[in-house]
Amino acid sequence: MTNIITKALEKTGLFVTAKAHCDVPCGIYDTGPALYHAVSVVRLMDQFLAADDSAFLTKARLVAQKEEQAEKVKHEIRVIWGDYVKPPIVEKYPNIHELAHAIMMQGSKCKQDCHREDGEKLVELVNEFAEIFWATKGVTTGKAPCPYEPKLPVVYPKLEG
Amino acid sequence: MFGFKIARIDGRSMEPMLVDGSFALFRRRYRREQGEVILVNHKEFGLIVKQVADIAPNGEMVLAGLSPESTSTERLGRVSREQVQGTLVAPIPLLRWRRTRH
Repeated sequence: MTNIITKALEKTGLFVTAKAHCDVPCGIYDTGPALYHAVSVVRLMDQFLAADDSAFLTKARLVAQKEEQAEKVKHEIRVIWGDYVKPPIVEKYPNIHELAHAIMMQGSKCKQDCHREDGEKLVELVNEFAEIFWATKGVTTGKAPCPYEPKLPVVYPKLEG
Repeated sequence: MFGFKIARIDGRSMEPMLVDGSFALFRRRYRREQGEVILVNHKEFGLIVKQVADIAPNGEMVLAGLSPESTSTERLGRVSREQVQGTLVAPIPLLRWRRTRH
């Protein structure tokens, strides 16, 4: 219907559609992956701390994975912060820069060592970021434990079909 | 009509100035000036809206989007005076079309 009206208006010559091109199919952002990676950091920390010292190969692998997952959190947040967050959002959520920076710092902290509370804090910060992200889209959110270990509270969007 | 045109913005490359799905008023008369937002009949992309980033010595215009996601200046290439269809007067506030794709 909207297309019919648009086309009819375009015939008048007064109305046109101008493309504001982007390079890639853009506008697709989601904090889901960042949270998935943040929760994975905690899970890997748990596994690392529970593993026997004699299983040093397993431990080495877990610690390498933990660092990779923490780096992925930083990457996901950087993309949303850099490409999606624009002045109107900053105006409404003035702490967004500080929050994104805090996530960068916390991500690094999780890479440096293996303290579970550092991982928990990372999840908490990404949760906060996710709440703001969904609010900018007018989507309400809820917090529920992720349905897998480490079962930490995670922000989920309440989407309706 | 009366030297003006209303354009529906399709895409996000001119955000935050021109939001995807919103409308903007353009006038047909063109002032060749850096920083102007213009409607251009682009050889590859069709009718597009971009900002004049620079003016080459031969008078051709170098275009750029406002958003980091925009098609790059290099890909857009230069456009000539004849390709310009209008200059932005102002975004039309409140009016917003339902987003159709992307």
